[in-house]
Amino acid sequence: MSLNTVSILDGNAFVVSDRRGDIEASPVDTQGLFLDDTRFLSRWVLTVNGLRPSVLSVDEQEYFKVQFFEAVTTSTIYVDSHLSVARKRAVGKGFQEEILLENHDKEAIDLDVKLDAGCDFADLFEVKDKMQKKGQLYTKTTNDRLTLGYKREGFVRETYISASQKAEIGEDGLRFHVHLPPRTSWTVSLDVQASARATGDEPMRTKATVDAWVGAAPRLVCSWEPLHLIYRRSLVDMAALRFRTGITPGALPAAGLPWFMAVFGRDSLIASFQAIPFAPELAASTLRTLALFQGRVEDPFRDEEPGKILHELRLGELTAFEERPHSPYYGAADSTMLFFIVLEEYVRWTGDRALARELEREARAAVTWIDRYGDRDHDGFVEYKRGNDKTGLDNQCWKDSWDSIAFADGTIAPLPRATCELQGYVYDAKLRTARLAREVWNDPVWAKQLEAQAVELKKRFNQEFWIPERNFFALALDGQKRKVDSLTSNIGHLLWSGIADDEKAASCVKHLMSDALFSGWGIRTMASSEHSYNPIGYHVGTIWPHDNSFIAWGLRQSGYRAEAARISRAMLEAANLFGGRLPEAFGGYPRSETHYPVEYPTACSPQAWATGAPLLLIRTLLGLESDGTHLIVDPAIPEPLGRIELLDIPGVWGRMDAFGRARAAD
Amino acid sequence: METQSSENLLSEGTFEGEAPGLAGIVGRMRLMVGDQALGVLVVDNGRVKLAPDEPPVDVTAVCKSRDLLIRLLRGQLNPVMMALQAEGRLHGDRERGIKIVYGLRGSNPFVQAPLNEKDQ
Repeated sequence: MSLNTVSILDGNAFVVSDRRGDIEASPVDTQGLFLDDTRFLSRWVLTVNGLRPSVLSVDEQEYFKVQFFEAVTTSTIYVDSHLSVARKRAVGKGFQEEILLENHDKEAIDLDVKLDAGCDFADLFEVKDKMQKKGQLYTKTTNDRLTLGYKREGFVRETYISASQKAEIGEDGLRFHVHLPPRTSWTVSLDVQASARATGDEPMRTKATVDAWVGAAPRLVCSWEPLHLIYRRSLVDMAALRFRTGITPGALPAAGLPWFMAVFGRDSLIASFQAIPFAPELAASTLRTLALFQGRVEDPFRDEEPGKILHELRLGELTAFEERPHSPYYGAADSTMLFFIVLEEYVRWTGDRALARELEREARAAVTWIDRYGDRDHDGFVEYKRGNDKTGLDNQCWKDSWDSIAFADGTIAPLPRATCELQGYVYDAKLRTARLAREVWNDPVWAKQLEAQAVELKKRFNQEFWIPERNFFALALDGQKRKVDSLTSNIGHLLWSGIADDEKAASCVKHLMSDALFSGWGIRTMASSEHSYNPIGYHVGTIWPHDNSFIAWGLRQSGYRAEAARISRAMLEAANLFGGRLPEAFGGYPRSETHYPVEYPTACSPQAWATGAPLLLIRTLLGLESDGTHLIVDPAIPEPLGRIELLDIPGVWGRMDAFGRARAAD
Repeated sequence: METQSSENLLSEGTFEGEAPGLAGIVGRMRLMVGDQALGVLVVDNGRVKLAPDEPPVDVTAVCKSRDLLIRLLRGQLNPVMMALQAEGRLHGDRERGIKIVYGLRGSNPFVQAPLNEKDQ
């Protein structure tokens, strides 16, 4: 988000304004009140006697509320302002705003207070892609309410604006005539309500509810002071990103502000995985919601196939009229495997076998998808190619930008593409599903089959993806089964899944820690040695915190304690310099060139899997694992981070504490 | 509210059969067009049948027209699209309702059933 904007959010409702609190959406500015992927207010401008107050300060107290302090000035430094303005705003299914005017003068004043209001009801995709509306906008006024509306056939969205004080209500906003005696104040409360889906009457968030959620997470005590802020920030941001569907119980993480405040397969699963030792209930909600929308039929428009887990669910106009396929869209080749990985991890940590039993049918359908549809050409590897050539995604792995899967010489790999980390996820998913089949579903025969398939996949993967002349695994096999030979961070995910043979893994670790991939702040998505490398290229050179958290976790699991600690430390130091909040991605510039990590211009922030990255890094540093009964603690903490204690870690054991301190060898 | 039996949805007799997409799902979904109840879809672990409108029900599907209700039964309606275009809605246990509507999207006996497509 721009540094010149202020955002507050609550689930998938959010308000983006300028630093005065005004909303003036333009084709290039993503301001507005948004809910369910629709903008419900695109203009909200306060004037007093025709002047726009000047901002003095902004108090971003909580993620769901903000306060703006302003003064009505005369634009000359020689005359003090005698009229201050405070605007307090809190978001819910719309927002409530309280405006306080204070007359500090010895004379009474008469004020013409005006709030301009308007709305374009743009779908979030229209905002992003600058498209035109096809329906009709309208306004309705009554004595006590202004209604802004939009209608296209059965798709109707309305915004209701009302005030606590008597106002002149016109089609373009509300006007108040205020007489303020000396040293007095005047207040008005404005209620802006967005009509949207019926999600029940969930009360607006309060500091108490957020504190309760954060308080339920383990308590962190550490000697490196910035880690307190980073941890607290992660928990609060995760609380902010909680999204309620109103259909399944609980909340799951939405992907990120501003473009991705929706249910996502990959993003919600990855963030849930990162949060399991801290807030395991997120994983349960994510799994139940994704299971509910599991693919049932072959539908090329939505890239839907039986058993497939969705990529993205949207609720805006373009989805409603099938101008976009997100109802839901299934264009992700990895979310189905991640579903199993999170399910098994969740059950092993919490002992909640009931959820696994509840999802057995979905799990069996998902395994069938991997073998029948994921492996499109039945060569033993999962590959992807979109069925929707117009609005589907070309790349259906986590690096989903158009140019991410390229050869070392920069040539884009032809489709279908079998990226390496997908094979790792299949390997891991089958082993984890085998465990569930044996321990929960009482099906040892199926468990044996799955394990045998995993062993065979590992053998073939190590033969067919390995590039002996460069000593690392290919980024992918392309449509002609050629090895895509770029050096990328994808090889780090192979450590996490365990698909790489030990010797080959050791060689990949050397590459991961080389100057070409490790910038000093983190591991780049693409090595600086490759032709496509760009330090501010979305997936071809930037550093992604979630990517690094999983690479660090994989290093740790593979026995590379020092390397895991080095990446964890670098990423947490970057988080500290970002004020405790890691963005979606940042520049891949070498640390030797910059004392600060360089911002990526359009990064989402907060973004769920970046928010979850410090959580997985803390787990990595403490070496936290569950064997299904006990909490295992095996710390490897680098010297500058000193001592870390994580208290009251929830799990099948109830609540347990973990302690770790730096040792010279770490 | 006028209550009518499920025969209104069928040209002749009652109808039941296999719906593999509903394996593992049990529930009773009341079927309505506007404020008119037309019966209950009984789901029993992969089998479905249309029954007269009698309690109890877990979830109610309300469609704007009989045509939409029949498309829902035949697995031709996407519940997300149905809600976004205000063509229908689910009340009650909506999680179970979505499971049932999604489950109908695989093969189900109503694809071939002699459903009466005209309003009574």
